[in-house]
Amino acid sequence: MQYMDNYRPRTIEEKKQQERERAEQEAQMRERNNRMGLALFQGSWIMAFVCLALVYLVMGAVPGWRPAVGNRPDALLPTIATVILLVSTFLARSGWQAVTRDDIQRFLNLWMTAIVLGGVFFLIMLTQFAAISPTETDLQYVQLYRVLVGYHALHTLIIGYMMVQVWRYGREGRYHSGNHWIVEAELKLWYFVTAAWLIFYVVLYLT
Amino acid sequence: MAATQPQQSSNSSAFGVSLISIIIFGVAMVIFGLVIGAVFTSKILPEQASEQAIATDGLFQVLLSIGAMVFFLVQGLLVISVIRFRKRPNDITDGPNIHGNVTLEIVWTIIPSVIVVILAILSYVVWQDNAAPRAQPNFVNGEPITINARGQRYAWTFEYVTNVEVPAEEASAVQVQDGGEESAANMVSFTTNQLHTYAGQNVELQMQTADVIHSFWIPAMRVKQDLLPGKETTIRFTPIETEDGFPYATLEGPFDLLLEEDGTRETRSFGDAAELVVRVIGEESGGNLTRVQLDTGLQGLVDSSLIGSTYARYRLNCAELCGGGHGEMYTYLIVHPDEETYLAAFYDSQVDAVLNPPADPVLIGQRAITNYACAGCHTFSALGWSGMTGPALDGIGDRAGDRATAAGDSNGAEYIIQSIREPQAYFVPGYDGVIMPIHDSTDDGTNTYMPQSDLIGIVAYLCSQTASGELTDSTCGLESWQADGGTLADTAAVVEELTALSDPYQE
Amino acid sequence: MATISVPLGERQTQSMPHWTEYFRWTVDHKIIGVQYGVTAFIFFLIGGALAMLIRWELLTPALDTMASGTAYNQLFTIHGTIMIFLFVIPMWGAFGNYLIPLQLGAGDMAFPWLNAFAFWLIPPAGILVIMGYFVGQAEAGWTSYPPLSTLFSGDGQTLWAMGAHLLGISSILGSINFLVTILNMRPEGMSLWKMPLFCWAQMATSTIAVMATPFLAGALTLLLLDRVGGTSFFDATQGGDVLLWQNVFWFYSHPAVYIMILPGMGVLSEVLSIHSRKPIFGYRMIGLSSMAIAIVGFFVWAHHMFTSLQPELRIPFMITTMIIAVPTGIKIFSWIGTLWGGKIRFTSAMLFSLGFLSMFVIGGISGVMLAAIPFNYQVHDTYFVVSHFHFVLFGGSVFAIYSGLYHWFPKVTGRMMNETAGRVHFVLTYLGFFFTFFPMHMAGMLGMPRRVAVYAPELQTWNVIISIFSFILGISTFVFVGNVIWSMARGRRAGANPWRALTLEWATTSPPPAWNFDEPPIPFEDPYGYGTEAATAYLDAIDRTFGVPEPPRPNITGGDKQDALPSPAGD
Repeated sequence: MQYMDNYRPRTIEEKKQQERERAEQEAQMRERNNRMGLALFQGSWIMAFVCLALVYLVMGAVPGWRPAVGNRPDALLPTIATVILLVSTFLARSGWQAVTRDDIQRFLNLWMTAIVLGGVFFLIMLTQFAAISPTETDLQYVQLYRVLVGYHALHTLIIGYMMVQVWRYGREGRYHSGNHWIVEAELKLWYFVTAAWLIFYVVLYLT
Repeated sequence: MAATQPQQSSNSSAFGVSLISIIIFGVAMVIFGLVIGAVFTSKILPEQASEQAIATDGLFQVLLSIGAMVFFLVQGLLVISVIRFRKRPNDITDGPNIHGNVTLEIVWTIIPSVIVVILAILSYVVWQDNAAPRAQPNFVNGEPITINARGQRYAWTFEYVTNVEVPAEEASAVQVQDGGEESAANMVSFTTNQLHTYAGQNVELQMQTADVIHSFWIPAMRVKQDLLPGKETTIRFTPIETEDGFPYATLEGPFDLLLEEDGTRETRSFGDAAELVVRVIGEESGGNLTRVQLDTGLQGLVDSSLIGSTYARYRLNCAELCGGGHGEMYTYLIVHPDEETYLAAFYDSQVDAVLNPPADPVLIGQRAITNYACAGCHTFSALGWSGMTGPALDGIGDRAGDRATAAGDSNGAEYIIQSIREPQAYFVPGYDGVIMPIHDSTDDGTNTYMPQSDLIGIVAYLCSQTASGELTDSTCGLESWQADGGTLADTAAVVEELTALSDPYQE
Repeated sequence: MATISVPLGERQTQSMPHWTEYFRWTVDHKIIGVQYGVTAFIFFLIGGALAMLIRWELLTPALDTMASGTAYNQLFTIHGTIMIFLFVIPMWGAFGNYLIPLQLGAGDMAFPWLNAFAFWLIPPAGILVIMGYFVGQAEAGWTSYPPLSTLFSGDGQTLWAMGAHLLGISSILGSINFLVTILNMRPEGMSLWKMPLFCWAQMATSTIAVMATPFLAGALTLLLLDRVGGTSFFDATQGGDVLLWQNVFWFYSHPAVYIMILPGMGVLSEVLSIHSRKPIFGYRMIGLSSMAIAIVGFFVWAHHMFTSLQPELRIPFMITTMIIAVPTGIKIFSWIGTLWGGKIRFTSAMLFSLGFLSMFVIGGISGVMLAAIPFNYQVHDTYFVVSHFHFVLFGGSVFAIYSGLYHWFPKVTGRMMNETAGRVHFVLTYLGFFFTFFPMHMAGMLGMPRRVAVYAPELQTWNVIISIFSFILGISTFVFVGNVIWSMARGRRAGANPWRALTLEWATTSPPPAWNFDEPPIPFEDPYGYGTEAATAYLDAIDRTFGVPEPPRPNITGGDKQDALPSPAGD
């Protein structure tokens, strides 16, 4: 019976073979686990951004809550920042692909460019954070605007710092085609920053 | 192997149930539900004192009946299962290998779905009917008045904006309470701590809160609505006469009460200013005496002539957590039997008091103090307050002098003025850090607004509150405070002295 | 017929890890599971003590035991927060951690380090919340409605919000771990439809937690900013909106109710089937109804706001709330279908599961009543609601937790619990619970608001009854604690599979070795396939490999009666 076979004693050969198979399977499983875990975390935590965006939309539905169209923050600089962030993400992705091809120098260059562009995005949004100041009528609007921009900036800062760490480790030569999960994970977190920003960009400047 | 079982067969005989037993069970279930619904609906709900309550209770009876049937069904099946299918001693076999029954599963998905759809429709119908605006809201003397309910930690106040115009020549002299709304400025308005209405009046309250969220709830009316900061909410109900009728009466002093306690009888005398709410039980001794019950549950006898107009009284709660005094934030809804009694016992005298204010500041204060939310935090037996958050006001006239010394004020009256205008200047021992709202003299929407005229009256009234009831025992230290019988000898001088004392406290 | 005569298998000598292991950072999911469980139970005792104080205060209609109304408010605020965030949710974390890898035949969770991290967030968060009690004035209830929680409360409220924030993060991380483990690490031959129902329930729960908890994070961020950041989102005088909090908070907290009850339903599905020796009735419908509850649960939140929401928005939420009763009903009837025709063994675990069934149905009925808006106006924010959610969370979750503890205690410790003490515990808990919480329905309908220390004197009789039985309920907990201590030391050796269950956690020694399984276990074709020859053969094979339980010792006081035990095959 198969259940009993499972518990019969094994020879040393069989055991070694089994160990090898098991180790291989476990490595594969770890990789799958990592990917799925990160995807779930992204799907979960983006909900915090969705929550704030919904709060903004619900509050914004009240007439007069937002300043008149002419008095709202100008969309030009944020749009430029958004494009810069998208380019940064694209470059980071190319960098990761370079690692999978063992082209480490190209990875380092692209990755650093992505970091710098991310920094530019961060600085532009910092000016946007400070650009508006509350008046009597739009106190709530300005507060919420700042919470949204600031909440995103906090995530940009933390994940950006992790980008820098990955770059430093990459310079030490830790990553290659056989070991690039960390780069991939960091890239996906950078995707997260971009996706979260796109949500905010749409609700803050396009609605 | 003993554990081998007859293989699964999903026809109903495998469940060991005959059609007869299903029918018996079903009939028992329905009867159980209907009986529970019919017997308990009225027992576990308070009096049905509004038109809304009748509709709500009807819905509840349906809910309770169906709920009782579901209860009977599940508990019945459980009890039958555990008795019938308990493991017998020495039986080590497994149960039959049955994995499900599609028909049954469909049945117990469809039937509950149908039931909840019916309940939803029924609830919607009742809800729409109960919440809809009624004809002739707040009609008094054939015209609508406005009633604004206000929740403040931890008291309710009700502002009646009447349909009586302030006579033109007096318009400037009459102090309109809470003059926040300009449109109301030429109508007489007054404020009370209890909500008065009469049977059949379609009550409609506009509700606002001064601080946190409160919730207006009268259990006997089956209505509840939150008061939300920054919003105005509305609640509607129509009181009706209940089986109990209108059993409450207010005894006004002076009177004697023959109190029965543990089989002994004892006479208690109440003075001029006393007011006591009692529940009338019935007449005794050929109608000369009336048996009454106090809020404490004690019973007593009073002279029947003392029983004036009677009314019904229902507790009005705050149902949303609002802070430390949440449980004490209640007052009463007074339902008069008809409009005539309502006018005579409540409305007309309130309007009259606004149009013809008394000269005696003590009398002004006695009325004015109920405009404010003091009842929420202070215990004050004379007006039936029982708040626990702040110090008691009983006998404040005896203590004001000593407190003034402790607080560094010139005399007791100034101490009371300071306590109202600048409550945080001095804390009574044991109440450190208890935040009483500031009552300031300008109506700028920041703090609670209390005009000078109200303040002077309230201070005079509080000064008159001595344990003995004698005005002369007051320790307020006013030079002009002389008694003439039971009242102040020179009211104008007292007002003048109090005005001088309170002027520095104006904003 | 082969008779098993080996009393204890060779591998039966496995013992629990040294006690110091439980105070260390470790990545063994079984140790983390016990850490979760013990921590949660300690918080249960603290929260329970606070409940006793609440009931003591309510013996009289006036404020007497507590120094002030504020002090009383702090009691139920901390009681609610502890019971929800620090007891029930982490307790299901305990069950999930211990059982999911074992039921899936895996060596550990998908992310062992993250698992430990999620646990170690809980003690500091608990300390923050309890510090809120001592710093003072976290008095806005566990729902923390502003502006009471922002403009009118002290620093304790800030600590409360920070603690809740940490617990939310812990819950998200734990749930991601469960989901990945369940989706990725099932053994060969175990499809989702052959998974134990406890794993199904944890999957539904974790889905809710990862989707909804970030909304709590969003809401708490705004609340904290209002408290310490100078913003005024909930301050109406500055143009803020108090309903904003209620909407966002309940968008998390209503699904959180299902986070607290769905794993309990999973436990029930296991216990009822195993202890009545009959396959679960309608496996797919039970699994699917968990998911249905999880999904519909996202669209009912505003039924907590029937007295504050704009009137025209109330009706849709009434309808969704009533609909959610249907999948719950499916579960209850399926469980009764499971019992029907079985061979019910009245073990302590089974008694608590039966207790769950009979009590939870009352919570379900009152839930439908509460959904009917006109009736809701009468009982919203009253003791009727208090009664309702205790029937769901105590009659439901806590009964399921006890049931699960009796059921899996032998696996965790290798020893059986004392059945006599278990029955005493059940009877005291069942009666204490019913008579504590059922009269609350009446008190609420007759006019007792919740969260008050001062109430109408005519309600005193009801409150005295409630308080007396609540003390019995409180005492019953100590019977359980005593039983655990006694059984750890002197309980009968359990063997690998004392209940003769088919799920994989029983296909290894009790307690399992650090690596869980010596050989990758092969799951039986159907986790609840009792009553077939194949199942008997499978169970016999496990008994032969790991040994059978030590026979009962009737000479020990409070020893087990033969009758209460699932007899080993062939005796």
